Amino acid sequence: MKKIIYIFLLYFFAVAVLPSCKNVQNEPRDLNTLPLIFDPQDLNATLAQQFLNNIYNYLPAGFNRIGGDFLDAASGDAISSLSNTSISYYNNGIVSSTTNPDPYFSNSYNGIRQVNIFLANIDKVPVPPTNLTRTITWKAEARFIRAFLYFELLKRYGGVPLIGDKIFSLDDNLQLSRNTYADCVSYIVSECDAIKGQLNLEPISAATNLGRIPRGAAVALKCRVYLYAASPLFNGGGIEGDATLKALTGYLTYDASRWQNVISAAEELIALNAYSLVQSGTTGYVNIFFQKQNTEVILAKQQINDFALETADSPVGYAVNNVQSAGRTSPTQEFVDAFSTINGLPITDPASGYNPLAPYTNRDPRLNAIVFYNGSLWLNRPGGVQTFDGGLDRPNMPSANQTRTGYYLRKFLADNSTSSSYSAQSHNFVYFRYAEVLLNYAEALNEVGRTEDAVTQLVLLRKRAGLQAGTAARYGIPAGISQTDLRNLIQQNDRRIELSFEEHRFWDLRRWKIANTELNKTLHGMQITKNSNGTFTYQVVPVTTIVFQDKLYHMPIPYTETVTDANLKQNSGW
Amino acid sequence: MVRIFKNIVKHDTMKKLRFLSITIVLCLIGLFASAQNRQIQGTVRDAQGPILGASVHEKGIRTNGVATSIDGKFKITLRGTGQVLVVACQGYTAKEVEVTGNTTVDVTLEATTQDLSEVAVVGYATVPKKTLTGAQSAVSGADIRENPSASLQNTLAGRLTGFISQQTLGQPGADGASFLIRGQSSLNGNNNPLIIVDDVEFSYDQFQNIDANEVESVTVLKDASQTAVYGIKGANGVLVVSTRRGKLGKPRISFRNDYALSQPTILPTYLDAYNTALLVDQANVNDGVTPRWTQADLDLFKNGQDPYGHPNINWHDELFKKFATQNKSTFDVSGGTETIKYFVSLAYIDQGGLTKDFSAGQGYDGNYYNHRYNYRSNINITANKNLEIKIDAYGSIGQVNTPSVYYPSTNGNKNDVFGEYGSFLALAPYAYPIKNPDGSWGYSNYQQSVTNYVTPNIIQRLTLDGYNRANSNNNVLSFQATQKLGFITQGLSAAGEVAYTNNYTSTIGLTRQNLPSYIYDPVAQTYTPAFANVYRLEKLGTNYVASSTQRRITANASLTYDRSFGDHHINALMLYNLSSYTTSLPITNINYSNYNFVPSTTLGTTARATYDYKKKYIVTVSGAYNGTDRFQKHFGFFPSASAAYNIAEEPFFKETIPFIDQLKLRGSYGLVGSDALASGQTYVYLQSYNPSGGNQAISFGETNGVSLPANNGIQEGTLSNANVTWEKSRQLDIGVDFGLFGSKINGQVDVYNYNRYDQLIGRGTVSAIFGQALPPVNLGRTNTRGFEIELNYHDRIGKDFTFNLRGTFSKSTNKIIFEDEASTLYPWQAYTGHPLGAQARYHFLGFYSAADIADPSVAKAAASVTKAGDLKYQDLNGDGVIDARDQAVSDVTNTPVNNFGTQIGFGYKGFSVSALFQGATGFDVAGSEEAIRAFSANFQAIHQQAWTPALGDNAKYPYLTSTRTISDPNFASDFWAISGNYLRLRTAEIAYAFPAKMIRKIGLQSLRIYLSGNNLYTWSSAFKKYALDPEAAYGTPEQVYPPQRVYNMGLSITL
Repeated sequence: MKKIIYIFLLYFFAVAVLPSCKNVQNEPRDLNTLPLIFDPQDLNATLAQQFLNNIYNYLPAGFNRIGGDFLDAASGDAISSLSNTSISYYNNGIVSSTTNPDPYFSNSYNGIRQVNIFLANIDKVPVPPTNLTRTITWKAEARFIRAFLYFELLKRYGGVPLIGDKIFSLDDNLQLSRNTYADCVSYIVSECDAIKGQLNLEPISAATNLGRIPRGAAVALKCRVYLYAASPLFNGGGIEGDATLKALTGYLTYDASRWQNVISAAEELIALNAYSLVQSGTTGYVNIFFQKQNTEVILAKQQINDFALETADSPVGYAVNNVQSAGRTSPTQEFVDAFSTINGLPITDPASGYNPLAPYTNRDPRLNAIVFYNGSLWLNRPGGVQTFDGGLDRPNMPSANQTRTGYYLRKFLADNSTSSSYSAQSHNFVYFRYAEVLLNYAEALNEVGRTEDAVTQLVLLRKRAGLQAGTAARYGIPAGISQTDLRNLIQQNDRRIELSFEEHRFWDLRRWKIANTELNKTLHGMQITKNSNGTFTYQVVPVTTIVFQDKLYHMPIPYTETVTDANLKQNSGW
Repeated sequence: MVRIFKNIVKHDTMKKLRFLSITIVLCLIGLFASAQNRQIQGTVRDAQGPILGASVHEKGIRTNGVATSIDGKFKITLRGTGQVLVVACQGYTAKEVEVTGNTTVDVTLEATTQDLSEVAVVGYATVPKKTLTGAQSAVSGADIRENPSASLQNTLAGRLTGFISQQTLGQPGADGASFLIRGQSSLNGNNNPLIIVDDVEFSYDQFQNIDANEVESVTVLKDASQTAVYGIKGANGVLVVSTRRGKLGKPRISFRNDYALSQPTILPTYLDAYNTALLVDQANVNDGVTPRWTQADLDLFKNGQDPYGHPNINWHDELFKKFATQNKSTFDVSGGTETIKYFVSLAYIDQGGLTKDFSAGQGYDGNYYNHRYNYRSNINITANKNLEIKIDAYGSIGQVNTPSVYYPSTNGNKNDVFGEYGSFLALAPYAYPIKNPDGSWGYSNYQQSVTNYVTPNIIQRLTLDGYNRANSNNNVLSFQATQKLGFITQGLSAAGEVAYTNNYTSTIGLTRQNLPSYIYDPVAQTYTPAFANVYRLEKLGTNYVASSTQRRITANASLTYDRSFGDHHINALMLYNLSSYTTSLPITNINYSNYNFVPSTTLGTTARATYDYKKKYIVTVSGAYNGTDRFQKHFGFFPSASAAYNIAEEPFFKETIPFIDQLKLRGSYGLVGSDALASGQTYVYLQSYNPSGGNQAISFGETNGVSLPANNGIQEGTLSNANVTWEKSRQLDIGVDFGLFGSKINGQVDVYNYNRYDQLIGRGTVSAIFGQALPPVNLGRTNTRGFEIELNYHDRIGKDFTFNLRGTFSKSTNKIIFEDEASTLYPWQAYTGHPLGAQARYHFLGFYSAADIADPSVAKAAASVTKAGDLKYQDLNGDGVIDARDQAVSDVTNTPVNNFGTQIGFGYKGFSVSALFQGATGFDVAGSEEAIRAFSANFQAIHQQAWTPALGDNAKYPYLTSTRTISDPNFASDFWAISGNYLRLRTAEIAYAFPAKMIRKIGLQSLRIYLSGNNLYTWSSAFKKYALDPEAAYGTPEQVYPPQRVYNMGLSITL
């Protein structure tokens, strides 16, 4: 009896328990693997294309990407409406190698690695007979993004280690040294030149390729790299005493011919004949940013339509679907004052027609497109935006967020002047557009002494902006303007306004080497009092004082990098 | 009945006893006919009823003995001249009864709470405590049941050595403490001990829901000699729960009913509107802006003449009851015959919530609650004398309710009454009137303009917003058979076990949005809708999330050999174990985004052998060869060896130091592993390529802004580590067990030293130029050491007065030996050499005075933000600027170093009193944001002591400001981290058991009434300073449902 039971138990155990140990799916069988992604059988290259798509994600996000704020909130053009957000570290001087809000270091190298993996494997994927250039174009796109990421590093830190096509494994020596600034410039430029013929040629098919890297982007990147390289900070004007360090962050000596490179690159792009300024009266400027496809944008980050930007930046008195707008960005009075009047003359010019009692009338039409001021029309509210003291958009409640300057940022938002709520809109952050190339061109022309040629370029932009032509159709630019005056005009007016909040000014102030004056000052706002008769009294008041230390001309290499890679030299002053 | 009788007859010992007694009776009749010949009869019982099989013998004449029958009855004829009977039974304290002049005696035996004093639970078996060679600490179910807490682990604090627990939450159904055994050792954050309930692995959640009434004992296995049998899962210690099983005897039916009132251990009360407004104005003056509130406003807040324009609401009183209620009923039947023994129980607990019952009348229960049903059926079947079968079915069915108070916020969606209660922005005392004069729900202009906290009326939400409800359903079926294989060789037996666990959870919500409320203007007598276009109450909407099923299959097969050869005794175990776990929980994983029902299997073979000579010299070797499919190299070997020397058994010892009747020296050394990966990591050895997307998804070639499949992305994931393997711990433990004066005083002392190595940690020394996130590698090393003392003293004074004392003390310290840390700029920035979980902190020197601010040589955070009244920190690197480089890694963490408990108990006749004091020292707590920071949190008394020039360094809080400065609690400093040391009256019970004679008349076997409590009193400086519970989560950013103080009264009846 007991033997039978014993045997039965053994049998039961064998039948019930032992089989469960075999054929057990003990690890996931639904993983993507490298051979699956770069599949030699797949003519469609389905996953390989997705791998390339992802590489685009490493391009910077733009807009309010730094803790909810625009990078330009650290450029004197605006401040964050909130105190002590990370962007303010640039303004109050507490940036350090551990607290830099915008390092973009590991992200860039992460992207570069993905590019290198793509380049190393994509040739395994067959080329379809119907599209013989597919692989070539894709490789060029990936290489462009790699070059772009190197430029992101270069403008922040100066020269960084160039790793070529290397895909590191853990056995590799990672104690890399920085390449010089000159090395990096030539590398990026050579990459741009090498791929420009292989990229998607204009016109770009909107249905399939909109947002993919076009040929023009390579030329525009080259133009920008040359522009930075020719600028005072990098063109022999480095702040470092030590020659080795100086070579890492710029050229050792000045060379005027570097401006010529900018001119040729700009002319190369213009000669493509693929791009032009968007013209449609005074709304032309607005349309650049929310029409998905237009003739001016060379490359923008394609994103799904939404209204996150509207919610983040609209004045705080507007609530849509019970979500209060955050009004994150407060443009400064200095920025608003940089706008000329409608005739193109600065407001300090007695002939400009500027009226301090009605400061927002008869101004450069771009003012209305870029800034919300008291009275701007928005979401159909009668009387418009209320940034007067106690107004809906400046209620002066404690602990309530509101503008600190009397202005909110309007640029990039779809035109909701008369709509009842926000709707999903295209918000593609523009990396390169034709206007920038023209401005680069103008700046370089002026620097090599061709001042009147430069004026010609600026006039194109002023005209598009909707300014009045004025005398000799110079749109407010004085006849016979000197090189210095035109340089100031570009720096303080034309380039500043046209490219505002597109992450140019922050870097422009540095490359021009004027940050130590432009970012060492008290910034102002407008205090507006509503009088009992319905009129407003305007008073410019100081809002905050920002500081700039010379070491901030170059960003600190992140602390973790300098301790893990002993050969990575830290920039001067950090 | 007949069958039962037959079974008794079959019973071996019975047979012998009967044979013996009959023989002896016959002999004695013949030999000592002259001696007394008195027959005594009687009944032996315990608190629950008659005891079957108790032995009764005449004192001095061991041979003259009988056993009690099923009714507990016996008859004995006295042979000697003595007048004393000795009544004994295993599991009970033996008793001597004088029978002079009596022919009938009723004897009531007291259960020795300690089966535990004789038997120790070890992995997969029990062993006599005398031959135990390892370190463990155990508590009996009876002790646990003194604590009325609903979660099992909350009853353990202070009772076990080496057990460290922290209860951060008191929410019904979520109030289980987190716990560690001998502290933290693993750098990957996963230090949870293995929990084994009747040989089945349980999760924390499952463990929390075990009903205390089902528990026979809880044992903590601490050193390698105890845990090596669990091999790859043993390194964090093992907590073993044994449940109650039936004993031979008539069915005993027990009811127990507990009714309890609970209230928070601490829940801050906030300043009223007037005092809050004063502080707001004080801050505004400090910030140089116009004070928010004018004198007229302040007057109105103070005199309450404008309850709508200037409300002053005591939210504490509006929101919360004085007490929440808790109701617990248990019912169990146990008993057994020779063939079948059973323990069947049912339990129901209803834990109510602290918020008032606002939703009463809405047709649903929207308050916090926890409803839980527990059932258990433990059956032992003795099929024949060689085959024993156990069939257990048990589980819990629970429902946890939370009121919905959802509101969307750009600052993160909120849905927590307690978080909101503490938030100044959400619920200032003048936030809004609850109701308007016309009966509509109130709101205010003030609240409407608070950025990110446009929170609809809280009382309205509690009334109308519905609930969220989590259902869980945990069922376990276990089948076990043990076959004696005496026909092969004496002492050999084989056993097999299969258990299946199914834990299903789902949530349901009945909620609504857009609640209409109105801003009442008392001057114009107008009502303005608080929210645009919200005029009507929408209907409730249902959402249901079928969350997941977790399944676990456990299978064991074992051979046991237990035999004595004269003075030599051998006990050996060989066990094959398989545990396979599947779940669908979507777990964000570095290399795999979803478990997707891929089983996680651990399997292997475990062996243990113990040899003892005269129970004096004992050696145990054990080991496990087991593995997991989480690593490519599946299997590892985890050996341990331990030895003990019962020196008190030596004759010379007995002669020289007779009062020490037990002294055992023991030591163990072994290797155990941990296969636990850091949270979110699963298949570290597999390289994967993951989809990318979300908001960052690129969208090519579209004009309509809709994402196309072609635009999906895929990317290389975190690199894989093909060599990933388990963490290992070398554990040394040396201990002494002792008993003095007939073991009235007994205890144990243990010292241990653990070296944990091959720990899975992230690389800290690889440059980001590498371009990819790196997998965890087996590099980390830590050391944990400490000692534990356990002391028991129990005795009686006179006949009826008994008392007992139990003290436990555990000290556990740890430090990081290696964690692949890049060489730091300054030595104080290094974490290596400091305890696990240490934090870099500023050192507080005092408050900045105006003179400090003016003095450029005094270091400041940044010239533009530091003001007089800010916290002045030490400038460690002397560069004149306070920044992250001045934060030094601390040596005090949130894990207590010292844990102790003292239990005192008295008994006099039916009365008994016991109290357990428990405490912990050597740790820090801190609050931040809405828990303590002014303007985030509501204002409390401490804020009235904020820095002013007059207070200077006597201030208790930095100067009040609405802006963020270096003084903000988010900057870790030793100003904000305060000592968490506490002492708690954790459990107390006063009980009265009615005399058996009295209650038998009404047909009861026992009747006991008692008052008990949990967390009855706390001594803690954290309480006083910041109104923080010392067990709160470190740096807690908001108020949470606080742990509860429970006052309980109960009644237990046995039929």
